[in-house]
Amino acid sequence: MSEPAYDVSGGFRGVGVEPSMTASAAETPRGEDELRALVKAHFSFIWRSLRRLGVAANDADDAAQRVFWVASQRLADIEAGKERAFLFGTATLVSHEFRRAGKRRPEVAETDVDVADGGPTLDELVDRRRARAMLDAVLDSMPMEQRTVFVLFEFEELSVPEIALLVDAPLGTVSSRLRRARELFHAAADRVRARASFKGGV
Amino acid sequence: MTSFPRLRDGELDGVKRALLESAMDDVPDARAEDRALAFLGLGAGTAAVGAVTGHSAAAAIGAHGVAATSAVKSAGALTALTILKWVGIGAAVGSVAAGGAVAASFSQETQSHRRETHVAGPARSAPKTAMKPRVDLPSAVANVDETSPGDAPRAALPDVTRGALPGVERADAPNEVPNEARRAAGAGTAFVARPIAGASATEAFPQPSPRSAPSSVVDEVASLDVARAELAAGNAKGALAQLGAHDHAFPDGALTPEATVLRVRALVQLDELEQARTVARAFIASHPNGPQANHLRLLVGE
Repeated sequence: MSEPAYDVSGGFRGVGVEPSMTASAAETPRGEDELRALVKAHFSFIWRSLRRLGVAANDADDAAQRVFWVASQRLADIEAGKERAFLFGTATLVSHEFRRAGKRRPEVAETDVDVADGGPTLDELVDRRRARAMLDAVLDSMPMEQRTVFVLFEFEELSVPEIALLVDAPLGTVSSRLRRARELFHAAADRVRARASFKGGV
Repeated sequence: MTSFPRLRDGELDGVKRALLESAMDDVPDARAEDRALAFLGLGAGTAAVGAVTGHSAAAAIGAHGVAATSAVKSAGALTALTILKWVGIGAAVGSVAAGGAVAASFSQETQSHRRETHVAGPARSAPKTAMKPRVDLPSAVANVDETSPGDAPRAALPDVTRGALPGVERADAPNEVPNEARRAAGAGTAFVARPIAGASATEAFPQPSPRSAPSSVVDEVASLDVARAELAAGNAKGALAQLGAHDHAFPDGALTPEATVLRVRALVQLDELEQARTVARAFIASHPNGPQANHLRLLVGE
């Protein structure tokens, strides 16, 4: 199977991509309406998801725009009723790329949550900004598949079946990922607290 | 399967609760959706981009926009794309009631240019040099496949291939700041503090001058990119040094608000919170309604 290619002058040529897919759907009135509806319905969710999947705050707008741009190019491919799954799947890929481009530290083992230097004291943890940064560190310690389930369940308050639909995984898989993610969260948060206590002399 | 209670609904110690709740107010600002619509060329965002938000710089921004648009034709791909990003930001900041029509018109044009260059879709006629991809999506897809098997919704996933996400510019990559721009902006020179103390807010943050030489926008963008790159690399002191040099090079710069946000971010990164608040307050006093003001309030916790 040949690799899909992008040609500046000739447009997108991908395996399994019909010629009609090469033009932006946003260029047609019908496409505009659909795309606008997608943005209106899902922008906030996608933006929040990108942040919780590790995109820096100052990159979140760009990342969200890119997600919807991809959607604008693939409107014809999006199955009815699966718009959010499409967007979230795209957001997962985009978040990975932004994290990589931002040279954020890679996913680390659960014992390596780095809070020793410049970490907060207990008092400082009440500071929301610092707490948010620490949460990022805790989430960074999770494998992406567990992180994804964790943020969808704990922050977006989706049910396990909803998450299963969104990430296209069996219910049991989602449940086990959630359990494991919670174990990692507790362990990482305990380390944060322990180090903060040590630093603060508590 | 749905019997899991959410952690926040159960008993948690203070640290874990603080960690979890810290994410709950992390939401897009009120205009982010409009900006996305504008980026996609859906019109609704144009008004937002040209909304009445800031100081009286519509004419200046317009002049810079013309310059930037012109510059795009001759500058390199990176610079051109970066200019459009910054000019887009500048338009959002700079439009006012008096110049609203001009600003809105310009913003639409700018957004259009930005879409053409930034998105650079297959049907666009952007020059080939403007298509240099900075984001290597195929490798990202490969990496995701390696690191999170089974997690992406395969059935619903877009066919995100090399063509699906064309060259999209991000202005903050440390490795792509032109060396000549770095040299021109005086990177590495000592940080010279702005005259905040004792100066009025207006003095501290002069309005952009419509008389600024058009080419200075190109240089300003490059200069601020150096500072952004330093910040992204965790070198806040280097960012402050660069911003000091930037102030010297562009005393009436059109991107002063963006420079201020970067300065405050650098100070926060250094835990120089009092100084950060001083800088932020002075800026907010002179630009109380702009998006940068809101950003600064968040940055310094006010």
